[in-house]
Amino acid sequence: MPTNLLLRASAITKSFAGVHALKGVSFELAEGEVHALVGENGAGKSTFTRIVTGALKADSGELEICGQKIAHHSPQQARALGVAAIHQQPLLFPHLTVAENIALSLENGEPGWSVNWKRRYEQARELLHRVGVDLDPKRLAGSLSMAEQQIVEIAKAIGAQAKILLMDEPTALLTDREVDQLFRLIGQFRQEGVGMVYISHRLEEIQKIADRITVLRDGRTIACKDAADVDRGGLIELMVGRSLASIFPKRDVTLGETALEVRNLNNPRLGLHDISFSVKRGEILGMAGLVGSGRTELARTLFGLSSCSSPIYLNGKPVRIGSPAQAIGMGMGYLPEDRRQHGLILEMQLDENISMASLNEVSRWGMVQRGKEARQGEEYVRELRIKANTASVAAQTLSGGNQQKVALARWLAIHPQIMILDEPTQGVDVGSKSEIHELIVQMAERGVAILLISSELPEVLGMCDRIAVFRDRTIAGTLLRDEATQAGIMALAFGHADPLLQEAEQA
Amino acid sequence: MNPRIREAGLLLTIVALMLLLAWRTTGFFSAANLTDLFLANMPVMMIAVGMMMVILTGEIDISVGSIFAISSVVMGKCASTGVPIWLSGLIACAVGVLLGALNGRLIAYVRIPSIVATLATMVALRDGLRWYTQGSWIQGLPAGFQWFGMSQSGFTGLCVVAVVLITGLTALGLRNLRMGRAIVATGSNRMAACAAGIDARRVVFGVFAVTGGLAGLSAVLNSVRFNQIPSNSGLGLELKVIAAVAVGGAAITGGSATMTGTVLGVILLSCIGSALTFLGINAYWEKAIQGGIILIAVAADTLKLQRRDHAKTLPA
Ligand SMILES: Nc1ncnc2c1ncn2[C@@H]1O[C@H](COP(=O)(O)OP(=O)(O)OP(=O)(O)O)[C@@H](O)[C@H]1O
Ligand SMILES: [Mg+2]
Repeated sequence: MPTNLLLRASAITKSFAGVHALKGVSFELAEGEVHALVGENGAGKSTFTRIVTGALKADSGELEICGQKIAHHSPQQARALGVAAIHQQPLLFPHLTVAENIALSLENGEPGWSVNWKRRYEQARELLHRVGVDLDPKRLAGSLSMAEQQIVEIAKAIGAQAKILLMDEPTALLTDREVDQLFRLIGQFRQEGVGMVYISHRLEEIQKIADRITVLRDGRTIACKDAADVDRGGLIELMVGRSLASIFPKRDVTLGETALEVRNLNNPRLGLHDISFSVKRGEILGMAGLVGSGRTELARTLFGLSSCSSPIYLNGKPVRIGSPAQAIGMGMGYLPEDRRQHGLILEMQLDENISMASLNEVSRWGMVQRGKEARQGEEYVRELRIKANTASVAAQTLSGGNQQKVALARWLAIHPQIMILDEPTQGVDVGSKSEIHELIVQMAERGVAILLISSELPEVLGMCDRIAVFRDRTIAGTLLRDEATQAGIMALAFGHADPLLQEAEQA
Repeated sequence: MNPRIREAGLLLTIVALMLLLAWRTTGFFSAANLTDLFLANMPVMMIAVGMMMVILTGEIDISVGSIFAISSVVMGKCASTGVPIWLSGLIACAVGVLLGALNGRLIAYVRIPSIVATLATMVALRDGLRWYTQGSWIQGLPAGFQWFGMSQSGFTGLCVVAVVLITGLTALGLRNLRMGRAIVATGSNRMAACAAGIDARRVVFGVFAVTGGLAGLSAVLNSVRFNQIPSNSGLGLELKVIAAVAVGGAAITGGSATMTGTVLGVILLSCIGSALTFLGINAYWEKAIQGGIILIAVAADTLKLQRRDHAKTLPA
C-alpha cells in the first residue's frame, strides 16, 4: 500500500538512566496516511515522537525522513524537513498572548525589524477558526484552560504546513465538537498528502480515522495492521496482551444524605452565575459541557482556589471555603485537570507526591515517617499499576498516563467524603481506565459523594447517576441516568439540537 | 542538576586548596588562624542556612546585612545601658525575628516581590540606623561583655556547637519535618503546593522570619568578640551569603538546594580570601583568582548538565 514513504524508522532503541523506553521500534508513514500509534501507558509512544521531532536522540536504529537518512538532528532541522508535532503536554509561554505563541513557532528567522502585529493577529484568528474555536488571540496563554491550550497547540501545528504531522493525544481534553472539527482538518490534510501519526487512548477515534495501526508494547512494535482488519477487542488484546471486559462497572448504590449543595452560586471573577445543584453520599454527579463552559471553574471555586461570596452547604451546614487547606480539612478532595501545573510536583518523588495532601496520616509530631510514606507510595504504585521501578523516582520520569495515576493516588490517599474529579482518566490507557472507573465506583459504595467532570461522553453516560450539562458558565439542565443520551447532552450543551450529531446518531 | 556532582566538585576544590596551602605556606593551619577564620565567617554560615531556605522557596533576601547591623547595635545599646547580657542577646535576636517577619509579611501577604521588598528594607534599615547612631560606635560595654565573660576557647566552642546544631537540625528538618516538605514543595511549584493544601504564604513568611532570627543570633555572637560595636557592621554580608548558597548548588528558581552544598560553599568562599593572602598573591589579582576558583568548582556539573539538557527539558 505505501506509495511514497515520508517516514521510516527501524529498530529504534532509547533508554533513560537504566529504563529501556524503546527496545526496537519500527514504523512507516506514507503520504496521505493516518497512522495510529497505540499502546499502554509507558509503552514508549511519546518517546518515539520526541525522537522523530529531534527533541531526543535515539541510542541506535535508523531514521529516514522523506527519503533522507538522518543520523541525528535538532528540532530546528526536523522542522525544516517538514515535521511538526502536537505534544502531549501543551507547552506555551504563559506570559505571551495566544497570537504571539503561535507566531513564535511559525515565523522562524523571518527577516525584517518590526513585528507586523496586525498580521500576527489575523494569522492566529484564522488558524483558530480553522480549528473551529472562537478564542481571542489577545488572551494571555497563562489564562487559558488546559483544553484551550491544547487547541492553541493544534493551531500551531496546522499552521506549520508540515509534511509529517505527529499528534500525541491531541484530543485528551477536547469534547466532541472540537474533536469533529479536528477530524475534518485531518481529512483535509490527508487529501493534501500530509502523513500523520495519531496517538490516542480513545480507541473509537482511532477506528474512525486511522488507515493503519501500529501497536507498541514495552517499547517494541508488536503489530502493524490495516485499520479495517482489527476490531476494538482485538486492538485491546494486542495492546495489553489479554482481553478486557470494557463495560463500565457502574453499580447501583443506595444514596445517603445530601453531602454537598450550592444554591445560586455566583463567581463573577470566573464568570460563573446562578449555579445550583446537590450531590448525595454515594452519588456520582457527572458534569458535561463544551470546552470553556465553566466546569473546571466551578470545581476550583468549590475547592477554595478562587474566592467566592456564595455559601456552600456541606451536610446541610453553610460553610465558606477560603483555601484548599480548609477544603481538605472538611473532607473534600480535588483532582485538577492540569496535572503539570496544579497536580504534581514533578521534581519530587512519587511517594512524596502521593502523601502531599495527607501528610498528617504519615507523620507524627510534625515529623514525616518516611518508611510509612514509602510503603503507602508502593501500595498505590501496585494498586494503580503505575509503571515505575520504585516509588522513590521523580514524577517527571513517568509517562503522561502514569503521572495522571500518581495525581489520582494523592486524592485517594486523603479518603475524602466529597471528591471532585476533573478529567480523571485523561491520557490513561484502556486497561487502567476501567480500573480507575472501578475505584470510583468503590468510592461511591463507601458513601463518597463524587463530582465527575469529563469531556468523554461515554464515560459520563456510563459512570454517573445524574449528569449536569453546562453551557455559558451555568448549568443548562440536569439529566437522569436513564433519560440521558449523547444527543440529549449535546443539545443542552449547544443550546439547540446539534444537526451534525443527530445525523451521526441516525447513521 | 545532580547535587552530588556539585558537592564533589566543591569538595575537590577545597581539598586542592588545602593541599596547596599545606605545601606552600606555614601558619594557615595554626589554631589561632583557624579560630579566627571560623569566628569571622560564622555569621555567613548561620545566615546561609536561612538564606538557603529562602532560596528554596524561590525568594531572595538581601536585607540580612542590615538586620545584622541593627541587631548588633541593639545588643550593644542594651548591654551598655545595664541590661543583663543574656537578656540583651535575647532582645537582639527577637529584633532579628521581628524584622524578618516584617519582610515575610510584605512578601507573603502584601505580595511585594521579595527582591523589591528586601531591597527596600535593606536601605531603610541601614539609613535608619545611620541616622540613629550618627555613625558613632558603641563603647563603654560592661566588663562581662566580651566572650560572654568566658574564655576565648570556651566561647569558640559554644559557637561551634551553635553552628553544628543549626546546620544539622535544619538539614534533618528539611528532610523529615512536614514544614521542610512544605518548603521544598512551595519552591518547586507553588500553585501545585497550594492545590495540595499547603499554605504557601505561611511557608514564605516563616522562612523570612527564621532568616531574620538567624541574622540576629549571629549578630549577637559576633558582637561579643570585640569591646566596641561598629554601627555599620554587616556591610556586603548579603552578597557573601547569597554567593555561598549559590555556589553550593542551590537553584535560584527554587525547589532545589542541599545543606551539604551550602556548607561547602561557605567553606570555599571563606577560605579563598584568606588563602590568597597567605599565598602572598598580589591584592590586584585576588578578586580575579577568587572568581576563577569559584568557576572551576561549579563547572563540573554545569558541563554535565549541558549534555543532558536536550533530553531533560523538552516537552514530553
Ligand atoms: N526523562 C525520563 N527519564 C526516565 N525515564 C523516562 C523519561 N522519559 C520517559 N521515561 C520512561 O520511558 C517509558 C516510555 O515513556 P513514554 O512517555 O514514551 O510513554 P507513552 O507511551 O507516551 O505513555 P502514555 O500513554 O502514558 O503517554 C516510561 O516507562 C517512562 O517512565
Ligand atoms: Mg505519552
